[in-house]
This record gives sequence, C-alpha cells and structure tokens, in this order.
Amino acid sequence: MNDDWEARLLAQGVAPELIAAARATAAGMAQITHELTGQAADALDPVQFYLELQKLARMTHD
Amino acid sequence: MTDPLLGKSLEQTLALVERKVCSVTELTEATLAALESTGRELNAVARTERDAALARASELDSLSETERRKQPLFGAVLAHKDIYARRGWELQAGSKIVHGPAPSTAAALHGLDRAGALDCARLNTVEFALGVTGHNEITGDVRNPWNPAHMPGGSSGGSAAAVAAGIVPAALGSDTGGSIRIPAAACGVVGLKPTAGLAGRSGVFPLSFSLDTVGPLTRTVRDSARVLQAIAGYDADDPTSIEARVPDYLHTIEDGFDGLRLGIPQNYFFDELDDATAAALATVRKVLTDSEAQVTHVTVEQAEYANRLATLIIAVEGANVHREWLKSRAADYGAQTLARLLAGLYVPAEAYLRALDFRVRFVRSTLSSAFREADVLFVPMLPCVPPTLAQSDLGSNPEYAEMIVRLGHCSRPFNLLGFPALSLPCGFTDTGLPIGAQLVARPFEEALLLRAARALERELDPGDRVPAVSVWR
Repeated sequence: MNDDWEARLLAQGVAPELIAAARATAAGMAQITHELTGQAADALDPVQFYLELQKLARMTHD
Repeated sequence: MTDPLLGKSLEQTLALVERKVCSVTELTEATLAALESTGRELNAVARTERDAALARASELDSLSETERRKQPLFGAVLAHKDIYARRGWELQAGSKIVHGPAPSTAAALHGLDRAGALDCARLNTVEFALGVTGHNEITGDVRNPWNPAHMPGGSSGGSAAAVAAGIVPAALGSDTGGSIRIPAAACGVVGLKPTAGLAGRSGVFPLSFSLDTVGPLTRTVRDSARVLQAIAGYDADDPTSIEARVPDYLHTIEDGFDGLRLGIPQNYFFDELDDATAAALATVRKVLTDSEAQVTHVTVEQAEYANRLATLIIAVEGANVHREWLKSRAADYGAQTLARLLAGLYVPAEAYLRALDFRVRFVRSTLSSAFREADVLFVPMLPCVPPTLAQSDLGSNPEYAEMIVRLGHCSRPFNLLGFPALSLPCGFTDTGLPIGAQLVARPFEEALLLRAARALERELDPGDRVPAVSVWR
C-alpha cells in the first residue's frame, strides 16, 4: 500500500490505530508464511493448482 | 402450532407436492409466513420476494404432469444466502455498500430453476461473506435456532439457521474458509463444500476468487446430493470452472460403508478439541471402527500450514475485490470487516505467491499420502462448541484473528486443497448445542463422499430433538 492509499483512508476517518493494526496483522501473516514455506524448492506457477484439478477431473471419470 | 407443510426434508417436501397434498402456491405461502415470523425472530432473513415467488409458484402449478416429472426438484421452495444474484432482485451481501437490482442471475440459481425449484428470499450473511461467527454490524447477528444466545456460525449463518429451524428444506451458501460447513455444524444441519470448480460461481458476490465455493445446506445427506445434482456443471462465466462429468449422486448413495477405506488423521486435526466435541467425535470414531469400512490411520502432511496460508490468501484476494470501495467508502464497512480487508492490502505480493505455491504442493502431497491409503477422511468440523454471540463478538479487537484461526482449524485446510468436504451433525452437548463431524474425499469424488456421509448418517440416531426457535415450537 502506498502513501496515497493511507491518506485516502485517513481522510475518510479511518483511525490511524486501525491502519497500524492492519499493517501489523499483515506483517504477522507474511512472517508466518515465510516461516512455513521457507524450505520450498523452486517456485511453482499458481495456475498449476487448476491444471491439477483438471487432470484429476479427467482421471476420476475416465 | 406447527404448519404441516414445513419442517420437512427436501425429499419429504417433494413428495408432498408430487402427491398433491399441497400446491406449490400453498407451500410458498406457508414458507413466506415462516420466514416472516420464525425467520425474522432468528434474524435469518434479509428480504422476502413475495410477488416474484408467488408468480413463479403459479407458473409451476400450471405445468402438466409430464412437465413436472422432468424436474427433479419440482415445487421445492428455497431461499439462499444474500450473495446470490437474481436478475431484478435486490442484492446486499450483508453490507451497506452493495444495493440495487442485480443485472443477472447466478449460474447455481439457473440450475435450481431448471430443476423446478422456487426461490423466495435472501438470507442473512456475514458482511461480504467475510467471517465465521455469524455476526454482522450492518444487518445484525443471526441467532442459532438451538439457543439464540449462541453464534450460528458464518458466513452462511442465515442459510444454516433457516434450514435448521425447518423454514426451508435447503439453502445455498458459500464456503471460502468454512462458511458452509461451520454454520452447518453450529446449527445441526448438513453442509457440503463441493470440489473447487465443480459448481459455477458466476452471479455470486466474490470474496476470494481462488477459494470461493458454492454449495448446499440441507437437513439430510440425500437432500445435499439432490441440490448438488442441480448446481454442478461447467459455468462458462466462471474462469475457475472445470469441465467435469457430473454423475448421478443418488445412484450409489445407499451403498453403505462396505469396501470403503476411511482414514483418520493422526496429526493436527484432533489436536485442539474441547471435551464435549472430543466425546461426540469419539462416538463417531467407534461407529466407523465397528462398521464394514476399513478404518486406517493416516497423516495429512503439512496440514498445520494450511489454515494460516488460507487466511492470508482470503485477506489479499478480499482486499483486491474491495479496493475501490476502500478508497472511498471505508466508513461504510463494519469494524472487523474493515480490519481484515485493510490487512490484505499490506501483505507483500511475495508472501501471497508463496501461499499459492504451497497450495499446489499440498494437493500433491495429500493425494500421495493420506489419500493413497484412504478414500474418505474423517476429521472434526468445529474444534469447540459454538460460543455465545457475546463471547465471539470481538469486532476489530486484535483477538479476532486468533479466533478465526481457531474456528477454521479443521475447515480451511480443505479450502486450500479444493477437495470436497461435508459437515454432518453427530451429536449434542449437554446443553443441547449441535456438534458436527466432517468427511472429506478426493477432488470430484462427491458421490463417494455422499455415500460415506449417508452411511454415517444412518448410524447416528439424531433422536427427536427440535431447535428452540423453529417451526416445530
């Protein structure tokens, strides 16, 4: 999120504490994600998920 | 006094209409009355569509016998979560922001229409379907029919409450992190999250494009199969829809446990149960062990990662859906919804991509480990008895995040996997609150999942309990 975003939120009356809490929550989620997936090998294409399901759909009913 | 047309399963309702015990119009009138009385008492109802429903009922009543027999859900009077669009009908998504007539009709509703069902109302949801407790600062909290002081679960809380209270025999919900299965467990009904991509989502207000799933809440497993039959199939307007063959889900549903391999995970899922839930699930475990199924212990590798990563994906994709409104209408969101969506804006792209990357690996590892040894998994649904509305009303208090993780402990791994999962009532606490069990199958193996669930349902005697706030009062 850039400064313009935060300015828009503040201008709408969103409490700075809420923005700070959102920032902290996001940092926590990102940290956990790094810890959990840190050992992963080369990155996979996220679209692969749907290709896996398509393959399984064909396999299930062939 | 109980209306004799209400409080039925879907199959019982279809039989009433088929035998001409009542007309579709009479059934619609009775359902609308119950929505306006019991439904309003539970705050399960967003709005009824009386004129449109009665016009459709009249149209159905005028059909010939031949035309009626072609429609497997002929005369079923249903209502759905307030994120399902029907052309010309108001859609609010439990929010202050969305309003006005919808421009088109959801694919799942087209499926139900073709099957001869009638749609008469929208049911309350957590704001924008983002939440697992059933609270909504905009429209008010939905009440649990078994004890109105307790949460109904969310986000499809209105759908679960309306079915549990006997007002409608089935209702559609949506499940991104457990939003069909959690309220189903909390309200004592059957909730089915189909395989990702099996049932089309066009016309359903989105939360997370890669995790959203549509599915039914019903009173019985057979009813769940009947609704799934109507909504499954390719949806050209849903980019994640998958062309899969849709079998007859009732064909093998009564085949029982014989020959099934049931897997009970030894890691993660049973780790955080409270005493009442553990006791009810121990009974289910004994039923399964004593059945003709082959019960085996399995490991769902890396399940402990899945809940957290699904939570991150929902936050990011949800924030993306809402980014324009967040710029101009932030004050119109409830506190918890706003807090969760804002967090999604701050998540680094790399973390989001890592979570999606994990998803592919998780599918492969689960299929090659747990599902190599088992056809269906048995796991808990909620790890605890549904808390009271007061206990679970945390607003934007930072504790809300941990509560979401706790309540989604057993649901979110299967959203991340995209596998079909079903919540089935399996008992009650000493205080009369329902407890749910969950069964899970491989992708597109809904027929097998429903067969196992039906076999378990037959073994579990629900007794003659009825909810405190319901059409049976």
